[in-house]
Amino acid sequence: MENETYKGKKSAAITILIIALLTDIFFITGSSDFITFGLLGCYGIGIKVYKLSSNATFLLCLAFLILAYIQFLFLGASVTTEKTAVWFVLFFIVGLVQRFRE
Amino acid sequence: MNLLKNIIKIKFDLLEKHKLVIFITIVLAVVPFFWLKPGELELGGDSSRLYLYDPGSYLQFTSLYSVDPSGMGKLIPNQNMLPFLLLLQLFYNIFHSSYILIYLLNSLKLSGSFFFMYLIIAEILKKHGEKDKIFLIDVAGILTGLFYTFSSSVGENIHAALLTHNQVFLNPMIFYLILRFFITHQSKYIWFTLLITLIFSPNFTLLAPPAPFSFYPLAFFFIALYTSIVLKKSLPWKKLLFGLFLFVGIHSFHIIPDVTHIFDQGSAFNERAFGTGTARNEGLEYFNAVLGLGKVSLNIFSTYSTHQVRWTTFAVPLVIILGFILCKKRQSDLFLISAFFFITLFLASANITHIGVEFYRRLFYIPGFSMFRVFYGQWQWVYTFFYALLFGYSLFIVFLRVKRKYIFILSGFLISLFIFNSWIFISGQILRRIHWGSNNMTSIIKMDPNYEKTLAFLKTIPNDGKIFNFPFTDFSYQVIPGVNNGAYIGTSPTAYLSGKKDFSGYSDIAPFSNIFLKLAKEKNYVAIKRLFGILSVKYIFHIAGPKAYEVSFPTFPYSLFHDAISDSNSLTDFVDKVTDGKVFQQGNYFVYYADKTSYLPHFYIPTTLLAYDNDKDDWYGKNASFFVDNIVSDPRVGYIYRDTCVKLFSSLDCKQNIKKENVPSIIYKRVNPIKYRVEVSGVTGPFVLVFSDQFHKDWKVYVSKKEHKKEKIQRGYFNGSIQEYRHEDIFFNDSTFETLDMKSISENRHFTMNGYANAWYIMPTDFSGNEKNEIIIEMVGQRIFYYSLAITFVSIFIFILYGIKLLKR
Repeated sequence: MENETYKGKKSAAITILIIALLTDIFFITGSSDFITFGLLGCYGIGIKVYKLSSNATFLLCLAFLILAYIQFLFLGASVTTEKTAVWFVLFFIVGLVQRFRE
Repeated sequence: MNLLKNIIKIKFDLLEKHKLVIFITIVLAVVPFFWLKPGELELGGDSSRLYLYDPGSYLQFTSLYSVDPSGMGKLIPNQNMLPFLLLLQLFYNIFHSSYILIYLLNSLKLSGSFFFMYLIIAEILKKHGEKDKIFLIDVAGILTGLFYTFSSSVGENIHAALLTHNQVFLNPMIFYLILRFFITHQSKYIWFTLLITLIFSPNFTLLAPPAPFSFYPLAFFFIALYTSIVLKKSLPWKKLLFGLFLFVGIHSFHIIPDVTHIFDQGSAFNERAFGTGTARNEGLEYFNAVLGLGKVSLNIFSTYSTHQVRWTTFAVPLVIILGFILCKKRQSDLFLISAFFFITLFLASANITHIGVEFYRRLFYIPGFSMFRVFYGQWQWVYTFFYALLFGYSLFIVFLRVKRKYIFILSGFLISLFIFNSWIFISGQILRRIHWGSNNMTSIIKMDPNYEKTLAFLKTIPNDGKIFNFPFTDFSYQVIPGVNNGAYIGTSPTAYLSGKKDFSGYSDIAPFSNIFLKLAKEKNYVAIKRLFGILSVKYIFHIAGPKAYEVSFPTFPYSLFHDAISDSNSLTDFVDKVTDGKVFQQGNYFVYYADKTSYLPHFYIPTTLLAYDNDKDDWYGKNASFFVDNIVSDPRVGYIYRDTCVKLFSSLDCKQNIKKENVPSIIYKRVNPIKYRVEVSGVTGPFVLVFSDQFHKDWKVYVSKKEHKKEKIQRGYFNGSIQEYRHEDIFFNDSTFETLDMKSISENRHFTMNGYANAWYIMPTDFSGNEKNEIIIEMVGQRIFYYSLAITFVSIFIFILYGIKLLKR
């Protein structure tokens, strides 16, 4: 039961994060370091609390890569493509640090 | 005998093991052969590649002296290309074909970049090299090499390749040799590295610093970390220091003149390197202006500019991510490669968070960092290099988890993607770019034999007069149309291959650029002739016909001149009005005399000095129209800035024309572009000697103690008061250092005349009371090259001895 609650909270947290990331990419014009580092900070906390592995981060990177690729195909190096690509890079760096510490 | 047999056997075994790699290298070496059809040449670009057309002449007229062969004769050390040009001349002597030279260089770029990227990945992955994984390492290495070789960093700009483009193969080549040196401590790798850097010395010049400074510091740092942290080996400091010492010694012939030039407070390089205010601000302003061009997505999905191939770009980043997902162990070498990948991605993109951009702006406070203001272009090669390494390593990890048959399928798929993505480059189509602004004129040229005959004629002109080229371009390039629908656009072949100083465009005649265009538009032929006189223009070279002007190039590179002279017929009419007789014609190529009555030889003594004020502010902030309204009939006028005039003459004199009666006669002779002898006779009072090359403090006047030996006069002007001996081009003889023990005329009496030229105020007391005296005008900066060449020769001697010692071992 506790395990299920924990898993539920974890899924909810990741879902909220992904929604926040997609909101930043598609609905927020310009970029804000406050949002960027805020979300990265939240993810960092999530890593600690939910013991997310580096593979989870890399899977998130894979999702960003696919999204960026699709945007690049249809929109070229547009603002949203750039934002997605930057998120890809930032999460990649987080994953790399995680892998190094694991 | 047995030892020799064993060596041969080992070599054959190696060849057998790596036959696929060798086969691909050979294929890549052959591919560029099909890029151009016989007779076609591809020479243009931002710095032109005339050295591939005629390396011998290029060497003779460009690379021996620290003076620009064109226009005003600015001082700039050009010697860095010497070993490279000697090698090119050797191949030219064998093949007698510029086409073959172009092919050989392109071939080296493709095969060299592939082969050494393969070797680097194979070396890094060697530690995973159990027997059954050697095959995987090989395939990963091949794919890494192909990815790098076919990348847009290598291929996109090959049609306008600067000499720095050689870094596409030099970077991996030298990286591999240094890596092997650090790992094995074997000195032979240092030796070969030094040899390669000597041959390709233009790629290690301090005057084109972004290329070496963007790659080698990071490369050395990576290799040092890799060796010490990953391989846990000691660093070969002593041998490295010796290698560095030998590197500086071998490259002294260009490094020392370059350093001297950088520390020359008048040079643009000095301002860029040390101008903490201006250079940093300019660099930062440029960076801010082009910041938007740095795109993370374009760097990750690295592709050519054709949109149809975008879909192929997912493969490499996907493999990288999969590699990390599938890699269970902590790999310190992978982490190291990734760290350098991200560093170079940041340097090449800049736009990673606002904090990242601000941090990037702070980097411009580092002296010299302004050289990277075109960051998205200058960091791309080192970024692609580490991107390829990361790809190769990740691919190996993916291969470890995949069955062998799927490896073949995956590899075939990746190779197909690479080829499809870069087909425009592999097929050579990328070379056939249309010149920007032109009417379908390609950058591939089939040289017009009429032009080649004209160039040969220009080489034979015996006197020292300069040449003015029409049509007149927007910067300093010359346009040479070919017999095909192509044209060469680049630095002037007249200057760089025939040794005649010329003016081709707007930048060449600064500070007179705007006034010239204004006079051309106003059809003020008298003033234009006067300007030609001031510039010592003796000949006009006109490429006639609409194909060379408005039909092929309706805008660029003639957008400024079109405003003054709209079409080729008007241009022919204009040329007719400013010239004084035809000298040579071959097809549409005409050489005329400039107006003989206005011509001023390279050296002259003004009979009138006209002081002017700097009250007209043009683009350069100077008065450049001081000559326009002059009504003095004798063209031997010296225009002197009034503030300078009052230092030499009285204020009253400087308010009116200063007439000089009984000026001495001179006979002058060019020894080489940085040394002239002037025989002065009939000295009765002080006089001003004008030398029509760009003013620089390094031009000095010495009074010779020797008597000039009698020679044949080739030409005279102004009733024999100015004459020319036969000119020469002596690089080195027993008189080269004759001025070392002579005292030069005081720099207080050296000043600017005619807005740009050198002039000296010479007094009879400078001579020893003789009526006939010889003075030597010499650019003393050239001495630095002679001394540093001596250091290079000594270093090369040590280098050869070192090589013999290694061979004996």
